[in-house]
Formats: sequence, structure tokens, C-alpha cells
Amino acid sequence: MGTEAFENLRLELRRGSLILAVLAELREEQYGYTLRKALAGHGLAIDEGTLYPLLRRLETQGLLKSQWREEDKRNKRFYQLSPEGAQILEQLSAEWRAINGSLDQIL
Amino acid sequence: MELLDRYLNFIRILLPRAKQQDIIAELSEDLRAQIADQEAELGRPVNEAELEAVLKQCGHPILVAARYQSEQALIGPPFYPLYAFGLKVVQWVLFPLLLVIGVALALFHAHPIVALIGSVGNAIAGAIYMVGLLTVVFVVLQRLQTRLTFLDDWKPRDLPKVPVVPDQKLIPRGDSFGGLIGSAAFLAWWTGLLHLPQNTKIEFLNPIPQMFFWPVLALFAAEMVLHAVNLFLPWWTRRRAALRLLVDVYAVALAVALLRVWPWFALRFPGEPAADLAVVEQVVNGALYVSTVIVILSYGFRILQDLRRTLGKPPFVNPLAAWFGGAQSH
Repeated sequence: MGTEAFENLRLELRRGSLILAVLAELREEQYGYTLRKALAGHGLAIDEGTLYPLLRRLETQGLLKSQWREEDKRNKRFYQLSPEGAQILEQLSAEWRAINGSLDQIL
Repeated sequence: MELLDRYLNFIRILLPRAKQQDIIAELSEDLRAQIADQEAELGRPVNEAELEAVLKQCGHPILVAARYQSEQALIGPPFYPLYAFGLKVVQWVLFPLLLVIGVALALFHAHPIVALIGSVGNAIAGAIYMVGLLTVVFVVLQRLQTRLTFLDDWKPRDLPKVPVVPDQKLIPRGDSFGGLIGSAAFLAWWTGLLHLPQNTKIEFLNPIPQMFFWPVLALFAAEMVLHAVNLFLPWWTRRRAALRLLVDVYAVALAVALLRVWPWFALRFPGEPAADLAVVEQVVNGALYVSTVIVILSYGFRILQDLRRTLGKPPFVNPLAAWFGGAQSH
């Protein structure tokens, strides 16, 4: 019960942070798999079933742009931050730092 | 890679048609890249167990496909509390109403038992129909993404004055419902509307039918009205407690009057030895005497409780209810 509650709360806590991490990683163009590897490299592992729907949602909101391109003889979908996404990332980063600062004081 | 294709095809059929190709192509690319990385690391092709592990880590196709759905709930957060309220209205108002109307109509039917069963079935079917209708309405509202303007544009002053009922004033609806049905059934039998199989070998002794017909009918009619009111307005008011206090006193007086003309029943079994019948009669009437005394005691406790409610004081905790784990006092 305790583990389940922790797991649910952990997922909830990670959800918002992951969006910020994805937006930040996509300042440079990447395709899904390399993005996942990059996030995992920073200690933010995300499974494909979560990442791709999230990328689609962010693209629908106009924060990302994507295109299919061939690389290493394989078709891959590359994502990058849109100008609007870059603006939002800046605002969210400021918000994150403020929250982080406040939480540091509380914790 | 037959297993991979099977996995992707399962996800495909669960996705919206317009997005199927795009999503599957991207997911397929990711999984193939993962497998290629693993193969490079192992220096050999992955075996079936390793491939299965990759797919299991990705998640069940139903869960994966669900994450691509724009709607994650049939009825979302803004509508759900209203929907839940609607369900409560069906459960506690419309269903009992249908049941009471059905039972009342069944009593006038030529075959009341058959009609009664039909009425219960109709009430259940009616409630299910209403729940279905309510669900459809809210699902449509959710789909249309209807903006609830009153959630944004509201004033605290415009909120309705919802009475806050302390626990001790709450009347469990189950009690009222059971009481209503019980009183109605007894009245139906008492007035002869409900023709139960008659046992001609047990009969009331005079003066029970002559003297007590109307007084008993009046008591159960009053109980029925009180239960009906309590069902729809499930909290005690001083006025309602005072009304029930009158009923309680009347019930005790009636029970005492009944005890004064005890015994009430006689057995008619031609051919049976009179001495044996007398013993059985004594047992039956004795049991009824004891039951009536218990009823008087319970009405006595109700008088005490209703008197306190009428005076605006909290009722005592019912020792029996407390014993069985409940905190309600009736």
C-alpha cells in the first residue's frame, strides 16, 4: 500500500518535470529514440508509451515541430522546439527555478 | 520479428484510423532501434525471450494505445460531480418513487403478487434506463467539451443555502425505505388489498377486527407518511420529531389496548384434540404478547429520543446500534 502510494505520487511528481525536460532537450533536433536515451542519460528514464503520446500532445499545442526524414537508411521522425515552444520553455524554466527554490526552503 | 509485428498490429487496431500509420511507424522505429542497440551490445541477434522483454517493457498494447487517446475519461472532472449527483438522485429519489408507485398499483391488480414482482422489475429497469440516459447526456456534454460557464462566472452569494446536517440529525435512507415498504405491505394485508394465501385455521378473536381495524390502519398510515417524508428529506427537524412523538405515544396506547384484549388468535383444527390446540394457541398468543411488550419498549425508547429531538437536544446513542457498530439513534 505504502509502495503503491509512493509510486503514484512519484509518477505525478515526475509528470510535469518530464515535460520541462523534453522541451529543454528538444532545443536541438532529435528523434524519439535518441531523445529517450538522452533523458535516460540524465537520470530521467521515460518509456516509449509515455514519450510519444507526450510529443504528439506538445506538437498539437504548437510547442514542437516535427518532420519525417531518412537517416541511416531508416525513416525517423525528428522533433524540435518551435519558436512558441522556446518561449514557453523559458517561462516554465523560470517557474521551475522558483518552485525549486521555494521547495528547497521548505524541505 | 513476427512477435514485434504482432505487437504493433495489436496496437494499430486500437488507434484512431487517421493516426494509425504515423504512430505505428514511429513506435516501430523506436523498438527496432532498441533491438538494434541490444544486438550490437550482445554481438548476436536477440532471441525470442529478449524480444519479449523489450515488448513487455514497452507496455501492454491496450495501455500503449490508450495513451494516444485524446479523451482519457468518458466523463471528465468538471462534469463528474454533477453526474455523481444525478446518480444519487436516481438511486434515492427516482428508484424509490418508481418502486412505491409500482407497489401501490400492484395492490389493486387482480394478481397482486405477480404484479408486485413485475413492478419491482419495472422499477429496476426504469432506474437502469435513467442511469443510461444520464450517462449518455454527460458523455455527449464531455464530447462537445461544453464549457460550464457557471463554473467561471459565479458569485459566492448566489450559492444555494444547502443545509449542513449534523450526523446525529441524519436519518438513514435505508431505514426510511425499509419502513415505507414494510408499512405499505402491512397496510395492504391489513386492509385486504393484498390477498395472501388465507389460513382459515387461524382466526382473529373478537374484538380485534371490529375495534382495532381503523386504529391500526391510522397508525401504519401515519408511519408510512413519516417514512416517505424522511426518505426525501433525510434529516430530523423539531417539528417532524414532535409529529413522530405523537405517533409513538399513539402506538404505545394502541399496543397497551391490544394487550388488554389478549389473547388474539384462535386455532380451528377440527379433529385435533382440544387440549393440544389449547397449548399451541397459548404458545402462539404468548409469543405475540412478548413481541408486543418488546414493541412497546422500543416505542418507549423512541418516545425518549423524539422528545429530546423535539426539545432540540441530541438523542441518546442507541445501545443496540452502538453494540452492532452503528452510531445512529432512531
